[in-house]
Amino acid sequence: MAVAAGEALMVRMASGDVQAFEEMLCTHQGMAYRFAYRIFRDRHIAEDVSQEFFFKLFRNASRYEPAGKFKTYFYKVLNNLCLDTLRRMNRKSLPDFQSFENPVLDGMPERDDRGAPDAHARTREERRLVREAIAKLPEAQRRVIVLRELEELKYREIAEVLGLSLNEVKVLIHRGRKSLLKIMKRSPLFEGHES
Amino acid sequence: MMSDEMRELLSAYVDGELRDSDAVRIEALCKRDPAIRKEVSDYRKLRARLRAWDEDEHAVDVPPGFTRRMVEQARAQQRAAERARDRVGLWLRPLPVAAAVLFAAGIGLVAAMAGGDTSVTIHKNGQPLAIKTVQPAGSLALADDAVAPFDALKLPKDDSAAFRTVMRQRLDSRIVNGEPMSDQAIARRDEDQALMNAFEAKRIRTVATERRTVAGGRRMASLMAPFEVVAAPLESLVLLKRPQIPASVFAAEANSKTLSGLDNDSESNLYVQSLDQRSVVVPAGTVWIAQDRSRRTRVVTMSSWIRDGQFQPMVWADQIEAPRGPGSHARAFAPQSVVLGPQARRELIGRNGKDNAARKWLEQKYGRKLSDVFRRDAARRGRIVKDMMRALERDTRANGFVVLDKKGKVLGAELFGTRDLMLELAPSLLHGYLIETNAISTRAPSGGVTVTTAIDLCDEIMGGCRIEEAPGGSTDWRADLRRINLMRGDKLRGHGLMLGDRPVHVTLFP
Repeated sequence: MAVAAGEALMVRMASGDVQAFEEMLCTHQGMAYRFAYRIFRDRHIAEDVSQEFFFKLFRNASRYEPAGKFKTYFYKVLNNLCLDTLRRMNRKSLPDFQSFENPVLDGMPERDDRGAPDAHARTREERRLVREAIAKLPEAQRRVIVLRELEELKYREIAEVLGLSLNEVKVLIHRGRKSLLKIMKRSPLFEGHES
Repeated sequence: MMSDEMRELLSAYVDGELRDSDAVRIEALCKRDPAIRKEVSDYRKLRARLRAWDEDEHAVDVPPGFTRRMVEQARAQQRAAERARDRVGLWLRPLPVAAAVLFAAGIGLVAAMAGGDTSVTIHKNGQPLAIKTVQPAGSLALADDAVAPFDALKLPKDDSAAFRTVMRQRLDSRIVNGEPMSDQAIARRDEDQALMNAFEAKRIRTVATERRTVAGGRRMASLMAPFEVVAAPLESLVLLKRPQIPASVFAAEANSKTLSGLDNDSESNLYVQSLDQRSVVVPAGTVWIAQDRSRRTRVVTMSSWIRDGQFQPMVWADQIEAPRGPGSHARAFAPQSVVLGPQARRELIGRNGKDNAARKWLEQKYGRKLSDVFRRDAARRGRIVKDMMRALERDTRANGFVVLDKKGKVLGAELFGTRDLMLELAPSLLHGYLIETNAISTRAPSGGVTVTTAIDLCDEIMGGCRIEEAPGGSTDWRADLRRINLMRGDKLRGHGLMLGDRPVHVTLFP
């Protein structure tokens, strides 16, 4: 729904329709902000990047071809912008996920586990485990895993966003998962869930 | 044991990204193999874990007031842009007048510098002076109206003594003699290399868009057009497609009929590398008979041998403009060594060649019956190359010979301008034929046929030699990837034509 709406909004934005821009923000700001947050693990940078991204979208709307898939276009532009920002910040690679804490979630009781301190601690531990495992992935694998598992893009879409071949995406996802499994299996927490 | 490729499929299977047929395969495997079942289950659990983590991440929400701030900013930017447009509009209004004034002043200035002849100066050679720049030859070749490749070669068209002299002079290449190249030559080479790189960059893009590949091929052909073909790497030559021939036709012809030197000729096929859809590299030691759709036949002969212990590369190139037919092929019979392609062989010494124009032409040229020239009967009696040598020794009239393989198939014909030259070169040439004669076909276990090509023999032969790269290897020369390696073994010497690190042809000498 959001994708189809996105294409229509882009067409309207191309004619300078600020109302369409506002609708675009309402429907897609969460996606953009979370993606940027996953990359930078910093709320302020994520906000700045999202802001720049939406303005860029607005400015370049006339160049958008509706024949293309909006979701792919959306992530492609956003991904490129994040990379540019990283370069400006003189970071050669993505920041280490491990070194950032989730300022919102850490310390906040889990939805399903409220009132159960053990379960809460366990969930926090699991979250840390996932974050650490993702942090240990090579950058290319990490990016692909984020787009697949967290943004739920199809393989073909990931290939378009990152400018890779379908085969490369397949291989990267496979290797990423293999590495994640290897890391996470070392933890009794993961094995415990298996049973 | 499951292959890596299969494991990659497992991952895609979990994501539902497999084709139905592959998915069915994986499901069948899962049923059979508990280890695979476990792996699939692990991937599913991992996905669930990551998604759960992601749900947590969704709690990170956009800061409050984000939308309102953005919309306000967008409106402000739009208003500012409109104001800026208005201001630019005010500035632009007098611009056409100013441009006209400047243009008139410019014309006056140019006219003054050129002695007042305004019309000639501004439109030199029909081109506005403003775009006249110094263009290197390579970029001119890249132009859409570049000269057709073969026309740009500017080869002499007759086989007179003067022509031969010119050719020999050109063959006295700095590259082959290992002499340093002049600054000018280096600059030209670098320029060509830069253009080639530029082309390569362009080609990558055109492949990506899949739209301009043919144009890229044409440009490639144009780029190579102005090279001095006889001074180019002596072990190869590039034939380029004429613009009016569709690329698909050229590609088909390169592998089959029209470029007759390739037809069923395993030795030649080894050498030919299609650089793109419009060019073919022809190796040393072969005669290349090319006939294009415009019915112009071109013959290029390239040979090399060792004389007095020295590597002596030689090139004979000719451009024949004649109607299609064996007569035109026959003109390839220059007083030099000639190794014919199969089609030419059939036409020249074919089974039913009584009316053969080539035969008539040859008989006229040599002033005697062709059967005497070739001594076909004698050749047919000889079953091996050694016998051919005897036949040659017996024949005192012919300045040439025919080589048959063990089955009596004609492998080639060699003609020479003088008997002395023939006797001098024949042993080396016959050794060259040995490679082809010894190509072996065996039946593969799967039922197919395995052919032991000259490449295998080359590997084997070169394995027992001391190898050194010949001076002036041509790897740096334009698109050519070949070089010559000299070989010195205990009982042999010769040279190998290398493509990258792989020998594609070995010539041995006694």
